[in-house]
Amino acid sequence: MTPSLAAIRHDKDSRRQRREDGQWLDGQAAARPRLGIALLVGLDAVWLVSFFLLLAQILDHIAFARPELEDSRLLLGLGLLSGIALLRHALRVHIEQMSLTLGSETVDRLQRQATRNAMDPVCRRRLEESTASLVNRLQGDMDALLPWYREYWPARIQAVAQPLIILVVVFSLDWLAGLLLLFTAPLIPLFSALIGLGTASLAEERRQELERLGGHFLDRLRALSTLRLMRAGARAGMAVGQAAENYRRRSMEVLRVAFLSSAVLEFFSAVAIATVAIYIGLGLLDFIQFGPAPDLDFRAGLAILLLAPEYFQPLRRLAAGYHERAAALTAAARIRPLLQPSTGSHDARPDSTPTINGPIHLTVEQLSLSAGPDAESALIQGLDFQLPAGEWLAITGPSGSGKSTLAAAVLGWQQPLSGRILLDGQSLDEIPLAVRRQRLAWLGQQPHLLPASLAANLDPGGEHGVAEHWRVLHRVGLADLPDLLPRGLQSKLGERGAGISGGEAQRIALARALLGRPGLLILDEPTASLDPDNEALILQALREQAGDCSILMFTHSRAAAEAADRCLVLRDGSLRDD
Amino acid sequence: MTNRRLLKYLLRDLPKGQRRWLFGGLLLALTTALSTLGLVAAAGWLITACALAGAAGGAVMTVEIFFPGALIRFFAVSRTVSRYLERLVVHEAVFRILGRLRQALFTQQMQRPFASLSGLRDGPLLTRLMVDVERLEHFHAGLLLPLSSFFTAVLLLALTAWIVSGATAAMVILLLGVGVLLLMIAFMVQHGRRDASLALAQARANTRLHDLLAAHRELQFADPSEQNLEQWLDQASSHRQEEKNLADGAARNDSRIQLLFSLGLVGLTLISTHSAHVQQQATALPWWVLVLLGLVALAGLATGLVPALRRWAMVRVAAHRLAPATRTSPSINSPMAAQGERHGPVAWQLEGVTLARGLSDRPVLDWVNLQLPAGERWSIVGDSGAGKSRLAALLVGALSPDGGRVLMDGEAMSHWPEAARFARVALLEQRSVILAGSLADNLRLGNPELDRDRMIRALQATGLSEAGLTPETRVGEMDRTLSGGEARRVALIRTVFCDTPTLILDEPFRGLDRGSIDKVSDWLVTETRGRGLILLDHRHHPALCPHGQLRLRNGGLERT
Repeated sequence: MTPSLAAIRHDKDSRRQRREDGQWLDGQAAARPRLGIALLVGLDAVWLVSFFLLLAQILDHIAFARPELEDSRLLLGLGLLSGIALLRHALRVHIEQMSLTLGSETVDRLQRQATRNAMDPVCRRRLEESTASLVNRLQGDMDALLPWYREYWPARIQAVAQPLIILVVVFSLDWLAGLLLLFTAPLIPLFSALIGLGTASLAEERRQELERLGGHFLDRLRALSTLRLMRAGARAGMAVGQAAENYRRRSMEVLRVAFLSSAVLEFFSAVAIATVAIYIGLGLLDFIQFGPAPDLDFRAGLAILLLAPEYFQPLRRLAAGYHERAAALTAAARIRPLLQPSTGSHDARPDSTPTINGPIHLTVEQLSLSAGPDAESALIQGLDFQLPAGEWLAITGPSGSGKSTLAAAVLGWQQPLSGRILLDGQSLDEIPLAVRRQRLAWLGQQPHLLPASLAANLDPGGEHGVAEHWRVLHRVGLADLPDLLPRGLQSKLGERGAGISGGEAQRIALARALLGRPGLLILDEPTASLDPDNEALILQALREQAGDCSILMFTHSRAAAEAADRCLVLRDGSLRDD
Repeated sequence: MTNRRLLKYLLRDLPKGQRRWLFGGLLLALTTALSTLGLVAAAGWLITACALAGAAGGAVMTVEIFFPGALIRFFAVSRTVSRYLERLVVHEAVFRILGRLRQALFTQQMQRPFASLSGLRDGPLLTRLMVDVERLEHFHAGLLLPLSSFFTAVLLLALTAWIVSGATAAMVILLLGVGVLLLMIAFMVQHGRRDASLALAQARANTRLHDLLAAHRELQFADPSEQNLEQWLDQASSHRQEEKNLADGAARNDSRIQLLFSLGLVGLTLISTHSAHVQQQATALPWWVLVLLGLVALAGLATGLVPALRRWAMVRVAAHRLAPATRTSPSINSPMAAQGERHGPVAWQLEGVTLARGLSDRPVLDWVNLQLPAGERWSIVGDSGAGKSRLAALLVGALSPDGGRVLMDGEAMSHWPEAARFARVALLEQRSVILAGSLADNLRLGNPELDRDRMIRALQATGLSEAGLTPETRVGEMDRTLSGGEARRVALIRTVFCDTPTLILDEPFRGLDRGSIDKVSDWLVTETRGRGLILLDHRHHPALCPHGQLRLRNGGLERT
């Protein structure tokens, strides 16, 4: 029931933010279908009004003309009524289909764009967000946008068009009744706003407490193994129940006020219908002698009565969709940062990728780097070094000296403040992304294996043959791994690479990096979480590889630094010989 | 689960003890529905009667307007009030049901095998659990109440029609009700399973996305043509397409129900002509209009019923998975039994223990025989990745060896219930788990009787007071987030305060700077005096572990 609470917290700033998010959401959808939906919704309202006018006409005919069953006017009227009903059915289905398509297409486009960005290391460095929370944004939040286009957009049009048309009709029938409807409608937002003001301050006070209580269950569930170790499980269980109880009590205090604003809507619509009915009754009995009342007839009276509930219905529908609307706005605010394109990383893929092979000569000239994409001050200043083709260079240095940042810059994941990075004499930003992706490779501290077969893990792009798979497995000393697995190269590695040790996973990841015969291999702490056996195996594999490709390795490990051809120390923003 | 057992679960077991609230909500929903119907129907009756009386000039026929007028006003007020109360009571009921469900679920998860608990930290299991709870939330308010109040309203309108306008009108209304039911059943038969399988496919896609996002840097180079991403995007699009088709099907049937009502209205009007004509009674017509307008209002109540039905598939899946939790009573017969009695420090004995690592790697422990006498204090030193954490898990019985056996106080691990093991040995895990709450809540975790002075002394001794932390500080993601070093110290203090006779500390100084390590180390010396200690770290700490160090490497544990 969290959405009901999410719907009612807003102060001035967040209201402005919401309005902006709402406009943004509207702007994402294509204009033409939106216009089409608006027109059809208006048309539907016209047919709805016609239906009730005709029904009133027929009942009037029955009451005063006392027609026979075979009366042609009666049958014609009823036939028309059925026709309108069929027409409205077709129209409704069509509107629904259009708005469903509008929602799906818009969200699909947003999801594609956001997911591409989320897979882009440049954007990810800017976002600095956990994978789990990104998944929520890309799936849950995207789905939360759907009702905005599917329900809220048509409902908004209906809430304008239908009352307006009904108002015109009712005025033409009896202006006093029209006046009554006209005045009740604006009172609704007024009173709701008054109540809303009370709720907003109440909710703001309680918001934190409610969020805390609401998150308690999840928090304790995640800590379950610790709770068990501390023998605190039973107590935590009681506390979960207690927190849920408090959450209920606090929430109900807020909801008691929050529901009042929809009760106002309910109250005015019900009272308006009742008042209109009694007014018409008295008018028909000629008890009212002023205004249009003496001229009121049964047909007009009945029509007004039938239309009165429909006058308020769209407003009620809009109010009922308030939670979905609030959820969509919240989701929009969370999604928008994901859609900002990163500069320069999305250049077009060239049709043909050059087939240059061999090790790359890396030159770094006067390079200055900030600690992160948003940081201002320079972490590294005026850095110069060369990595001759085929050399294996290790760079060590204390934590925070900027090793990972330098690695990111060489990979093109972070823009330098100044200076140049050259690959074989060509500036990094002039090399198309596709070529960079082909010629460079990267391996980090934590290998990420996919829950797929060993072959699919070695070659996620599916671009290389089995012989190549065996070649890289040999290179990392895992040639006998397929024999230990039930189905060889096709064996599924399972969730998070289960069954395989961290060291083996890292060697598979290294094999994967070597598969595309990169010209420059960049390693960021490749052996930091490995046991000595596996570290030795990795270093041995790198020794064999050096020469075929250039290796730039950032490491803490003594053994790794000694295994390289050359070792430099990064300290206070500059490189020195070890 | 059969449908009957499913319904029994949803209607009886799940809302157990809260059924009064649910029943109250149902009554109020019904009142709201009937008031809506009554308001329009009575108004229809009133103006028809007035029109007929007005036309007749008041002499032939008089209408007593005040009672119907009062009735209409009553319906207007009762609709508002009962709707407001209905929403409150239903929310109250759902909150209560969910509170109980959460507690039961927590208790159930707590009784899982220890090794499987890590899956709850952040993985798909946790997500699934939360999603399931959310789905069950919708059943009572979104499905049960609207459906039952709609069909009750159908019956009541049919009954009214029978009394005021005869059996034919009642039959038409009942037939309409049956028609709605049939359309709903048709929808369920066509689409019921598809919603569930879509939810399953989406959950799988979620996991897949998680894996892709985690591996995004590797995939930059390993998958230059972005095949994995494209594949996922296409899959997500096709899921959305399927979801759209399902929503479309629901909307179609919803519209068909409205069409059915409109046609029913036409039919009923025709019948009314016949009947009013035959009866030649002016008083019959107002009653007919009452029924007709009641039908119009009933059609309004039917909107949105079919889209709500789509939730049923999800409710089914969720109920299926969560039902076992609620059936076990929430009273916690926890592994707490062994508390209270005092034990001495623990002695361990490893007999030919083997602990494998991966498929081709050298094992962490390869046929290790070792005695660790009670009350002794040892460092176990090993590089990262050497298997220290798994060794620690082995010593508290959270992990079983691949060969050989581990004895605790001369008895096999399996002899000791979990509570007995954890009452003798407290383990500081490698991860520092901080609970959202006050710092005192965290520190008291293993020792509810811990007094405030002792907490403050510990905070001061470990340098946490300098960082502005007091027992009252609220910590957690929403409040003050602790740095790695702070969290480590909090976790360490908490473990030491468990007051178990033996401690296993896995990298207690992780993330701490030199000065803090000295402070924490001094504090540990005083606090752990007289207790057995095994300290796993990259290096030996002689002050804490006077008995010496064991080096974990090459599959062995060597004394050095």
